[in-house]
Amino acid sequence: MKKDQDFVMKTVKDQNIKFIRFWFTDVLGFLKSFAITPAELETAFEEGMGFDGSSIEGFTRIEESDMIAMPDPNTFQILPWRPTEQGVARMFCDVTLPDGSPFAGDPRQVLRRNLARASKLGYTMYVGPELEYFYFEDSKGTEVLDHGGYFDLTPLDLATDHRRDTVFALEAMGIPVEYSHHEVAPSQHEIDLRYSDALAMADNVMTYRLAVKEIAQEHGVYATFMPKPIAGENGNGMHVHQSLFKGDKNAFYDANDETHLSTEGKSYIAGILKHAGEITAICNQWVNSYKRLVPGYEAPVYVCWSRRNRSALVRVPMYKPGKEQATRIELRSPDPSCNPYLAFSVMMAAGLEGIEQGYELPTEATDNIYDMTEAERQKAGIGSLPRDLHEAIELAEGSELLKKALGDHVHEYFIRNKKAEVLAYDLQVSQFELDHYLGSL
Amino acid sequence: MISRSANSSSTTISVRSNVIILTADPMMGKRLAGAVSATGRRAHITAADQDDFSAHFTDRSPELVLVAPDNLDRLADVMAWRKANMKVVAVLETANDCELVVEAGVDDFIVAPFEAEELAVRLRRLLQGDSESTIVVEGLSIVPESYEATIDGRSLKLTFKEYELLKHLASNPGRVLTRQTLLDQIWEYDYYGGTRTVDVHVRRLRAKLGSRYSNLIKTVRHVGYKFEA
Repeated sequence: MKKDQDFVMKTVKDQNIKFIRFWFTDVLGFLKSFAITPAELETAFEEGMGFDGSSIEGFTRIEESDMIAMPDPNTFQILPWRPTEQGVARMFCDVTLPDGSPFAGDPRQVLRRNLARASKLGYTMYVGPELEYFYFEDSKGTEVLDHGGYFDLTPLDLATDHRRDTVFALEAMGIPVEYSHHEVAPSQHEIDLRYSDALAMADNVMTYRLAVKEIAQEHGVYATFMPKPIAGENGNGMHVHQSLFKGDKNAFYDANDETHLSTEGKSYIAGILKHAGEITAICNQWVNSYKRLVPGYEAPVYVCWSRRNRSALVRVPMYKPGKEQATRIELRSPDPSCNPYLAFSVMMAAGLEGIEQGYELPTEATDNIYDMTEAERQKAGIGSLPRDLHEAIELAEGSELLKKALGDHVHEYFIRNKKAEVLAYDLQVSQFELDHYLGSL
Repeated sequence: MISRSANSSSTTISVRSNVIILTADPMMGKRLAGAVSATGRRAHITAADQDDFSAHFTDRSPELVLVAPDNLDRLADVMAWRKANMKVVAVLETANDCELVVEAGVDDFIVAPFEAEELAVRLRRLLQGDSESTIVVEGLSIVPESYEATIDGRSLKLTFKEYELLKHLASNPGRVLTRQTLLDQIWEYDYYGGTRTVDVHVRRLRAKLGSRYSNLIKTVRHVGYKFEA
C-alpha cells in the first residue's frame, strides 16, 4: 500500500470516520457521489469501486456501463458540515474502464489530458476563480435576503454569517479563500479562491459549490449559482484568473514590455479571443447563461481585451512592481454553473493554440466598447460572443479545437445534450410573449 | 494518479515488483536479487540499454533501484527520474567511485565483492527509512507512524502532503530545499501542479503551525525553503 493511501486508512480509523464518499463529476458538471464504509477502503484503493455508469449524464453508452471509480488519496478530506463524531469524508475519483484505461467521458480525465499536453510544452496552469451566487429564501422563487450592494457591511448584508461559515468550511477542507464580500446585486455574494493548479482548482470549485449550498441549507436558506436568476440585476459570473508557469517562472511576464506581458502571454490571450466563440458553449452551458451575457450588467459581450476596461472579455490586471509572479489574465465570460474541469480545459486549449500558432494579440480596447457603434466595433475588429445557446452550439459543433480538447466522446455527447435543451426551450411559450402579444395580437 | 486495479495490471508487467535492478550481468543480477528477496520484496532485473528502461520508472513506482557497476553510466538518468520515496543504491567495483555516487545523491552504496547478508541488512534499514523516528522541536512533534504532527500533544490535522512537506523539511534542518526538489520528492511524477503548488502548501502549513512555530519554515528568496529550529 502506498503511503498516501496508508495515511487515509489511518486517518479514517483515528478520526472514527464512518462513511467515505466517492465523488466524481458528470459531463454537465453535476457532482455524483456514492459512499463506502471503512471496511471497503483497502480494496477500493487496490481495485477501485465498480459502478453502473449508464445512468450518469454523458457516461451513457450501453457497452461501457461497467465503470470503476479510482479514489485519489490526495483529495481525502473530512466533510466539515457533517457530524464531527462518526464523521463523513470524501475523495475525488478518476473514472476508468474495467481494464484500467481512463474513461473518455470523465471530465476529470479530460482535464488531466489537457494538463498533460501543457506539461509536454513545459507549462503548468494556475487558476484563481471568483464565483458569485445568490441567497434566496428557498428554491421556489427569488425572494432576496437583503438589499445590500457591493462591499456592503451589516446590517444590510444579512448573509454575513452564512458566508463566514462557508469560508470556515472551505478553509477546514484545505481550500484557501482570498476574499469574500457582498456583490453588486441584492443578496448576491462572492467568495474568491486563492490560486491553485488547474486540477486541484476544478476539484475545489466542485467542493465550493456544494459547501455553499450545504451551509445555506443549514441556515435555512437556498443558494444558487444560476447565471441570471433575476431579470434586471447582475448575473452570477465566474471570472477565471489564469497564468502559465515554466518551473518557478511566470511565462506570462516580461519586464521589458510596456504591458509587462510576454509574447507567450499575448499569444495566449489572442488564442482565447480567437476561439472565444467556440469555447463559450462550455463556459456558458445553459439557456439561462446568455441572459447574463448582455450589455449593462458588468458581463462581457464583446470579444476584446483590456487592462482597465472591466467590460472586456479578457482583462489583464495592472502590473504591480515586484509582483511578476502575479502577472495573469482574467477571462470574464464563464459562469459558475459550468463544468469547471471542461471549462479550464477549453480555455487553456484556446490559449495554448494561440501560443503554438503564434497568434498576434489585437490592439487593446481602451474606449468603452458599449458606447461604440456596431460599425465602429467592426472597424476595430471587435466581435461578439454568441448571443444564445443555439449560436454557441453551432460554433462549438464545428470547432476542431473543442473536439481535440474535449475528446470525441464528450464533444459529441455535449452537443447532442445541448441541442435537446435548446429545442425544449424553443417549445415553450414564455410569460413575456403572453404579456406582450396576447392582449394585442 | 491512477493506480491500476490488481486484476488488470498492464500487459508488459505480470508480476508487481517494486524493486528494479539495473544490470546486464546475469550473475550480478542474481546476487542482488537474492539480497532483495531477503527483504521480502521481488526484484525486476533489466539493463539500462533496453528500450523499456525509462518505462520502468513511469509504469511502476519502484521503491528501490539498484544500479550495478556495468550500468553506473546511467546513474544520472536514474537520479533524474527519481520520484518521491524512491531509494537508489549504487554497487561499485572500486571504492574510488564512492565520492562520485554520493555526490550524485544515492541513498547508499556497496563495494563488490559484497556479502549478500550485509546488503540485505542495509536495504532493509533503507526501506524502513528514517520514517520511524519522531522529530521533536520544542512542543512540536512530527510522528511518522501516525502521519501526524502535534503541538503540545494537540494534532495539527495536516493533510498528507502538508505532513510530508513538514517531515521533509524538518528531516533536513538548515538545508535549503528548492521548490523543484520538494515537488519531485513529495508529489507524484505525473502531478500537473508545478512548483507554486509547494508555495500553496507551505502557506497552509505555516497557518496550521501557528505564530509560535510558523517561522521554523524560512523562505529563501528565489530558491526555496529551509527548516531552521
